[in-house]
Amino acid sequence: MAVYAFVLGPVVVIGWLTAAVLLPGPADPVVHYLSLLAAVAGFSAVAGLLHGALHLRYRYPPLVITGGGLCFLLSAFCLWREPSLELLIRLSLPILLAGMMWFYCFHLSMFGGAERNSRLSVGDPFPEFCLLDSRNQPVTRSTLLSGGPALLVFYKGDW
Amino acid sequence: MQLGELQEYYGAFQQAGVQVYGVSIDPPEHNALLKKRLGAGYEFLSDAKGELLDALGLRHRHWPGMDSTIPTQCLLDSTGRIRWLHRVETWRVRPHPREALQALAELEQRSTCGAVTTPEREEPTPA
Repeated sequence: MAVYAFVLGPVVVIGWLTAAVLLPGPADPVVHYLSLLAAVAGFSAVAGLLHGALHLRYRYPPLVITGGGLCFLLSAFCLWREPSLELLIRLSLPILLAGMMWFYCFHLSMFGGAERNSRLSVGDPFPEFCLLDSRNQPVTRSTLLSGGPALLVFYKGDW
Repeated sequence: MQLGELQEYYGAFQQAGVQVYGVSIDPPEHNALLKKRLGAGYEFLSDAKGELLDALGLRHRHWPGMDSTIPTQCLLDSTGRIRWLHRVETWRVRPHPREALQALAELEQRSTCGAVTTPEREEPTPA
């Protein structure tokens, strides 16, 4: 997985940059600048996802939504105004990145309703358990509660 | 909530007399390294086989062999009853430790006012 990201990622980015520099730009200056803006918006969607991952607070990460949305709209406008393969190649990486960010936000990172299967509800007693702490010592429900009230944080990721 | 963030607020939980535990599917050896790296004062519990997660319906089967936890926060009183819950529909969102502290303060206020003398069923907090 990481190999793909670290090898394929730079290859795609360098290939795209080379193509964007070597291929003739759009004839229409409006399309030229709007396509550049679309690229910036697409990359900002990636930055928005990293920002969201650090803060873990945004149901809809603002920069992913606005950056990605702007990238799609501007790309569609540019391609409508000046349909050409060169322009499509120029816009391909931003569209791909923004699309990946939206796919991650709206599909991959969701539990797909699995969170509703949780059998926890307020007022119920917490079930018995026996887990190992970081020193490999068993901790049961009663040993845990002997220390008073407790906050259990079921987490994912370790930052 | 993020683990580092939780450590920042760990003192406030200690002051409130609440123990803090992080629960995950990672093995104890991983948690020992994690605790050291984060300089965490709170303890980590390992549910490597996912038995508790299965009992609670908190196991997230994403890709084969890469099961993980559905991030959930659960505040237990000293009798073992669940007094506050935070659930999410995406792993991109976690509560801030302040939210747990606020819930704790509200519960304490209610119990000192006599409104909650016996634990009663409440609607879970919407995610």
